[in-house]
Amino acid sequence: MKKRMIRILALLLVFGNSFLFGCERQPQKYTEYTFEYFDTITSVTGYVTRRDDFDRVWNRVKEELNTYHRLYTIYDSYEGVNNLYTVNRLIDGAHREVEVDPKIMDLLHYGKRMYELTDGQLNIAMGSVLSIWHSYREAGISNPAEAKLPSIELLREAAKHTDIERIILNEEAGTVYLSDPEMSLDVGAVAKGYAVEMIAQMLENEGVTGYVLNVGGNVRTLGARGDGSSFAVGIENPDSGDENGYLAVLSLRGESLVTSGSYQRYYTVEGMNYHHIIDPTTLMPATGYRSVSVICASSADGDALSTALFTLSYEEGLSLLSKIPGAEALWVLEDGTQCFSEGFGQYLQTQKS
Amino acid sequence: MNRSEQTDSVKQCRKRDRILIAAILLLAVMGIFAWLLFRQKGAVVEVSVNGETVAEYSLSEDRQVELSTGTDGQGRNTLVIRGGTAEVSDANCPDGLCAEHRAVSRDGESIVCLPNRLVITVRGE
Repeated sequence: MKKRMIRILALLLVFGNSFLFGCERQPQKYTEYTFEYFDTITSVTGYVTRRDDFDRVWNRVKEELNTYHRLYTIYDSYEGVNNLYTVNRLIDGAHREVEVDPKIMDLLHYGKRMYELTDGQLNIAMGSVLSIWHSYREAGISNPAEAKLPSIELLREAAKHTDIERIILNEEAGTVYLSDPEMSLDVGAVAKGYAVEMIAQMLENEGVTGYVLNVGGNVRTLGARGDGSSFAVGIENPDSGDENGYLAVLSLRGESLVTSGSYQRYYTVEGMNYHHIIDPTTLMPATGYRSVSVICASSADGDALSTALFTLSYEEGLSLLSKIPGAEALWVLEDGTQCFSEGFGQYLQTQKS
Repeated sequence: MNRSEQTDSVKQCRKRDRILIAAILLLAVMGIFAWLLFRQKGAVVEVSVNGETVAEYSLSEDRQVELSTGTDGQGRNTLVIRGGTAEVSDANCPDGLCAEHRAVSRDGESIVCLPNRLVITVRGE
């Protein structure tokens, strides 16, 4: 009898311990932030059982982002690196043919493809126009009393130098050349999303799963959470004074979510807000929406699409969206009305009105 | 279990002891299990500057904190915790977006101040 009792005790202890260890092995949520890349905030969230695994992925992401940031920036030069700043640079009044990293070549090819797909609504050769808005915005933010709008004449003059065909890509030599000295590249609408997608695919190929990458609103999920459930990703409510919290919470497993909003980067002139998404037709900040969110497989497509949709009417947007299989969108009009593409609802977890 | 019963049958007594011990052990194990499952730390506000966690405050205690932020520590953001919610009431950043942001209270919600490299995140329910 005693022996039997001991046996039961031992069994209980074994089960008890396995319960305890079982709990410890539950995936934990880890999050880290950095502000080093693409002039925005990057966060990586991982649902993993071991802190070491998370740190390894976090360091890999930072390393890769650093590489992409240094190549794709148009604002800084780095010693020994030919980046887009180098491509934009004028020497004796002309651009030079610049030998570039394949990562730059790939991005510029992608930019050209998106120009075709969006019928010119997304143009990486709009640097001349966007740099005017950029400097007026920076000046207006640092000195609000003196904030001004650029004149339409100035913008129209700059818009004469935005021909994407004059980005000359020489695949064999691995060089880029801008054949119009007045033109320049601005890849702000695609670079972040493209870099995030490349990094996500690299990690996926290494078998990494259970992570969410977020670079300034370019959200890319890798697989699902450790327990197999979907990631819950919230879309920030553009009405910042509102107490509602999120506009919508989405269930994602492997998809990207990118939001373009008029509430993120803007400056104020005489009580009016002017944001950073410039309509290539009017050369002015696009009107009509507070935000446009896109769900699709690739974070690069999501970035490009959300920017292009922001400058298009809802009907035009729907027709653009139909060109990318599986892409869905949520538009928030300036009066707060929400419009969805047909399949957006399947991702909706909860929605607050 | 009383003495008269125990004297009735030693065999029966042993059996009952065994059941009792097993029951107590089972309860203990279940208790630990339940504690691990349902223990709550209570919601906290995690403050991170430049990617480093610099402070953590309970969301259930009202307070106002002047945060030194930015890469050089010259940034100023005022964190106010009141009635179970946290918000930035004032800041010296150029755009002021953080101060316009609504108060946060739910797990995972955050307020970001890009110029001052500040992230305020709610953790736990």
